[in-house]
Amino acid sequence: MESSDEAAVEKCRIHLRPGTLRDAPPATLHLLPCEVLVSRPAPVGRFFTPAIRQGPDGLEVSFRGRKLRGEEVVVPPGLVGYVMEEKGEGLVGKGFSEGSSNDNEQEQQELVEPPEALERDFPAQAL
Amino acid sequence: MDLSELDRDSTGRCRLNSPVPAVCRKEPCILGVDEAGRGPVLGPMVYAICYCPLSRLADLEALKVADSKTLSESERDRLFVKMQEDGDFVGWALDVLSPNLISTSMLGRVKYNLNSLSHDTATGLVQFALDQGVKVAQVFVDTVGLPDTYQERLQQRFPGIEVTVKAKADALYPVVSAASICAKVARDQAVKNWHFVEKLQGLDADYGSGYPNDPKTKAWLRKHVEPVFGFPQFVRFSWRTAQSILEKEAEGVMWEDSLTGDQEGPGRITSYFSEGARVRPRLPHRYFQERGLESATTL
Repeated sequence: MESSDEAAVEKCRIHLRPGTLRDAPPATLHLLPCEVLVSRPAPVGRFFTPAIRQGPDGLEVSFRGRKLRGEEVVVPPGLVGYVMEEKGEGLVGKGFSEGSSNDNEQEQQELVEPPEALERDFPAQAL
Repeated sequence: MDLSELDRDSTGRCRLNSPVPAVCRKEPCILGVDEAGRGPVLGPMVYAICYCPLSRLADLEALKVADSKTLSESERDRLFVKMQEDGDFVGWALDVLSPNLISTSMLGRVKYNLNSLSHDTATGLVQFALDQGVKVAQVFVDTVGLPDTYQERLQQRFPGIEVTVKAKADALYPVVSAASICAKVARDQAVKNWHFVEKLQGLDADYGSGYPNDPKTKAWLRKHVEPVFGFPQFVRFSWRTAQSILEKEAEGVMWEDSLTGDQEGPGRITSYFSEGARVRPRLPHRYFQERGLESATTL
């Protein structure tokens, strides 16, 4: 997250009890080799997911008219990821153990950093 | 015309062809190349070839294909059906290049422009005819750009064939006109039955001619902008019309090869040859800055 230009933000720590997230419905993440300059909801399931194809050299999809090649990446064993959403009073989590990483044809990027959603600072809420 | 393969996957290219008439494998043939849908910002571009024995050229002319520019869509459809009925001496083949293929070719890291894509497609179709055993003796090609270099290149590629590249060839040569009809019929059908890979809501089919200067088309584009994904793949993202609408109405997207504010473009090449010291300090490419990579100066 680009936070260098923001004024000082009050940060709080959230403790997640893993037990409460055990039955989280599955979620899919896509890591793209580009940056959309805002953070907002997007119709991924309507525009992006149906456009993914199995090509001769792996997964292929286009974004904004540019061809991307991708592969499915598995979260390393012992780790698990959650996409957290604020829904009214509490937080709702969707879990994933596989994401898809889409790269430009010339690069390979590893899913090394956690996706943006997990880095967001949440205001303190009781779980 | 059976474009069902394009329905299944409208993201790449799709080739269709008639069976090769037996007589075309025995006698020297004349072959015409033309395209449809080069200019529009919507839908596929289609390249087509049409061929027949030189000895039967008069029969092809009798079909009245020569006036293809003045034909209505239904007249073209009718003529195409007639050509199929004359399948004992007329053959055709075509390549449907999806708007996605056009966009990704033109916007790729290695630039592949529309002219190169067009020439390669035409070349591929002529080669296809040869591979199918058609005894191609003469090729006539319609061109948008300068005919001379194109003709030279094609002639070199096909040394045993007499190649003629001319602007407005579809008005001059019946085989080219016939190819033009095939291309237009295919394009019209592909557009009419376009299979949107996206699950769109409130999609309307009222996009006018599909040409970038058509106000109806521009209005359709503006109506179907999605802020993150831009447009459906029916749209050619590489067209300036599409790009400028995205700049105004969609979210900005930065790619690794985009130029940022703090990094100027290449500038004039003469700046590398000037006598004085370089005025602009050369910043490392964004790729290195983002990853905190620096040149090593000590070991």
